[in-house]
Amino acid sequence: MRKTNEKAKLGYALLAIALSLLLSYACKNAFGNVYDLINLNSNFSCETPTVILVNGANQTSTIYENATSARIAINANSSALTYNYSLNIINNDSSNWEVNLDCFNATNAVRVNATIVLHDNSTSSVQISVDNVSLNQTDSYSNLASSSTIYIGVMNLIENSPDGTTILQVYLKMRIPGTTTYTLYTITFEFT
Amino acid sequence: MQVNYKKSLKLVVLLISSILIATVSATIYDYMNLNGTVGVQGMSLAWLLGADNSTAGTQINGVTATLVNLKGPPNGTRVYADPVELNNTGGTATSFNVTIASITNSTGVGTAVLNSTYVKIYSMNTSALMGTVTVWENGAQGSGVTDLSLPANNVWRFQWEITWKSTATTSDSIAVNLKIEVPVA
Repeated sequence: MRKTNEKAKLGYALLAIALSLLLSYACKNAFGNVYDLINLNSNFSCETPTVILVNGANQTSTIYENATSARIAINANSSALTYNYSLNIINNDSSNWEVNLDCFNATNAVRVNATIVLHDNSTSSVQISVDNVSLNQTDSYSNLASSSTIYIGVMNLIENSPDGTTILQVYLKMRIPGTTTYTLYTITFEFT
Repeated sequence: MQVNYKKSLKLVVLLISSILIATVSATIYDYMNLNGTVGVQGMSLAWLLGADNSTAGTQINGVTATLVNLKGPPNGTRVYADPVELNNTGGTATSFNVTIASITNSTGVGTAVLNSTYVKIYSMNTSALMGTVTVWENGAQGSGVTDLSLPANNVWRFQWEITWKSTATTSDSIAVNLKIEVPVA
């Protein structure tokens, strides 16, 4: 009889150990994801635009809220048209900027021939050109000095086909010289 | 079958004891987890100032990098391509996750006028895009990235892209806290 009790005790003890191991294992899974943590914090704010867009002398632009986006609409035809002052880019900042135009989306681009430039009346930089084959970009930067204005010109615009509308969605990219910090404004060219 | 209450009581006592033992064990694991930061000194990942540290106002204090000067115009996108970098100084690749711990309005209406914020992670060694943390998009908090693997002696840059809505004003600002989780082997 006593031997039977001892066997039972041993059985219970083994059972308890087994349950203990099982629970410990379960808890290990629950608490076992250990990480070292590194923090990356930021505090960012909205600032008054220091560079603004203004309708040019050719009156081809629509300026949107905050003067940080615009649409340039021109009716193309079979004769070459040039609008040297489609849009003014005004730097009200005390710092210099470098700017370029970067087309990020195009619809019916090859429907027209056109050359889009940035200029300051004395120097000019070709930014985007389209013809009946392809769209090309130069990725070259123009200087936008403090308290100065440069202009977007649309040159030699010719319609290759009367059908449809050509839409070029372009970033005006403004970079602080010597850095890779930049600001993007969206300018839409619409050639009907 | 006759129930032996004495034995059953012993079994219950043993079960409770085992649960207590297991709970205590779990608490120790938890405690070890909290103390895990002690191991940070041995971590192979370290922040470095990026090329845009001056415009971004990057400050590095141990395992914490803080960008105090990020700004952007309304209805435009500001990109800080290289405000801060993560360097793996170890001899083996290190895996990690990037999670969004918090997004809070510091001043103004903050996220109500925030269009989007992305943190894109690029390799400085290959220029490849390694992952994108969508901090804020479509009026809601986005998601982090998991299971990134930074090779030994490689450096990755964390590019911040901030786009405010046209209704944002200079009184709006937001604080974002990201966590880099490095699993402890």
